[in-house]
Amino acid sequence: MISQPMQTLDDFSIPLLIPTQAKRLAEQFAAQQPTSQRSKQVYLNTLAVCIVNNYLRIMGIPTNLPAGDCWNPSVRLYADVADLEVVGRGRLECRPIRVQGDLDSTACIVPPEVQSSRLGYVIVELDLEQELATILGFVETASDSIPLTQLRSPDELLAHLLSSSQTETVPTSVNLRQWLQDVVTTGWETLETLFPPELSAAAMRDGQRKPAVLENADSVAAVIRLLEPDQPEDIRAQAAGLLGEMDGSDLTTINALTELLETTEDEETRWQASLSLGKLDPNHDQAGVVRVKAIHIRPKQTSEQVALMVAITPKANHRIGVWLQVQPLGSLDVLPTGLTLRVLSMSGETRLQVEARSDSEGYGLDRSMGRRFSPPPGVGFRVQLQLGSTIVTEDFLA
Amino acid sequence: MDNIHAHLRQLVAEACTYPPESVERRQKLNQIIRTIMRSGKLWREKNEYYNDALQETWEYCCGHLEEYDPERAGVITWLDNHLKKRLRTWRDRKYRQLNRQVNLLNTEASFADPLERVAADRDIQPVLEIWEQTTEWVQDDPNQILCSTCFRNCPHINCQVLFLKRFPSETPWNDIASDFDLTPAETKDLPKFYNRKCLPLLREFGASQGYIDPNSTPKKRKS
Repeated sequence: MISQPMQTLDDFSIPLLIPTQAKRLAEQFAAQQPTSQRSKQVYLNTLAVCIVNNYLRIMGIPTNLPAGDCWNPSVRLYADVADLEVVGRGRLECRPIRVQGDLDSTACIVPPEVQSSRLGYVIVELDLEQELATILGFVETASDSIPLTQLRSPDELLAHLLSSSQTETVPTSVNLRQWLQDVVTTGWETLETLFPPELSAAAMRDGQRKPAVLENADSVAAVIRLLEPDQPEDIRAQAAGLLGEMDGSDLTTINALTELLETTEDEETRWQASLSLGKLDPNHDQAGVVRVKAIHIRPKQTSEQVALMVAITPKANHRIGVWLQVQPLGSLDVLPTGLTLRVLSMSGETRLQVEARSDSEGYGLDRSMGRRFSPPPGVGFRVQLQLGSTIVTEDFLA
Repeated sequence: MDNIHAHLRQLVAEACTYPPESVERRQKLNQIIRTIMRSGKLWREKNEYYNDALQETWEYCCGHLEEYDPERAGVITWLDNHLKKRLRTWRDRKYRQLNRQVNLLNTEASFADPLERVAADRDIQPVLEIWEQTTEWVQDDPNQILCSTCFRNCPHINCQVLFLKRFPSETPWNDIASDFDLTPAETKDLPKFYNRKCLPLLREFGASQGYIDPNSTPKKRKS
């Protein structure tokens, strides 16, 4: 991970001074806390956030300071938070450590409630007597404590923040990450609103219908047993998908799916487990989301539509997984031959492509087609459906 | 580096070979800031606005590297000139405000540790209202959004219950987890749930109450 292993913190850290304006703000925020212990923490948190903000201002990287939880007096009472929004990228956590006379501080503590939904963790060493703040480095993900020896340099922080060009994004893009926060995008429906119930449940399982016998708690237990590691991987994946639509599913099911996600590496199984969690427990932090849009693919035949489904699932390192799937809708029961699904970069290069096939008589063969990929955070991409001269384009932001 | 001035000239010239928006130019800026701060050769003054003026100087000069003319001065002299200009502006502003404002920092000498002073300076009165309204909202949960947002579909582990455990007493996460008999995996996920589902509700409430003062934040840097 560390590209220059011979360097020490001293070689790459960035020393800055603590401005009076930052101290005033920190004093003001600290004064709103009920105990002196919390006051001190809020004071240090606010300084750390101000320093990272100042650093990014020097670097010309736009931030949105008041959007942070640490700027919100209500949230500050309920969480030990030091976040800074980097425009178009996400939130950086800015954790303070105090300079130690004997230099024995070797790690930075990270509160459990800020160990998720962060672009990275920047560690700021504060020397209040000298009014000196040093940006020591950063890590991308955190556990309870970040050893200072694991910090990556501020040079790498810049590369991390600028890894995807912000100019790629256009304002009309659908921000997929917001779907994970239950934000609804106009024009994008839930499966239930577009499909009849028996089809909506199985939409992301290649149209497999739910076996009618699987309806009670016993059968749920039987399907949960199919998640065991000794089962073939395709059986585990199918079982994971089925669990999301069985009436007898409960907390045991949620726990079994959570455990499955912790142990399996198989993409299909992970997707099915995540989407099932999305149905059973939308607040689960591994829950996947599916949204769908009806698309008229032949302008003159309004009854012929296809459904463009976009599923997303949270992944490690602030990434999301994206699964695009196209299915017939309305009067169609197979995909029109030649219908092409493409994923393009915002500059127009084709990255992924799949085309609906036909049999020797020219009749459509495919009941669905799709592609899965995992774009880096903040990157824009374009999804295109083409049939003959009709092209429908949707822009997304990962 | 024997000759820091030649080294800095070189660094600025190298930085200017990259476009302003590039990672490479900014990585050179890192090197320039580090070299200058470590050298201790920058103009210094003892007053309360020096650090603010230096921040402004860094913002301006790093955003306008092309204005540096190596024929006319060394890099540090170029920065010093900007810094002194900004110090003058701050000094003028301070004199204008002198009669209006009591300097908060005068109490500094009475405490050895600045952080202790912060803790001692706490004035609860003006913020009681925020506490009261926020805790009242948590307790009343007028739209039942807090008690209906549940962890793992368990009705008894919801945002309201978690908020009440985290403030004012700040129950440690591990204690909360054992109160609810959570498995190790659930124990790990509970704070994530709190971050992703509970805090946004609180964020919305705080914003709706108008607690966030947009004037308290520094102006956007003009580009």
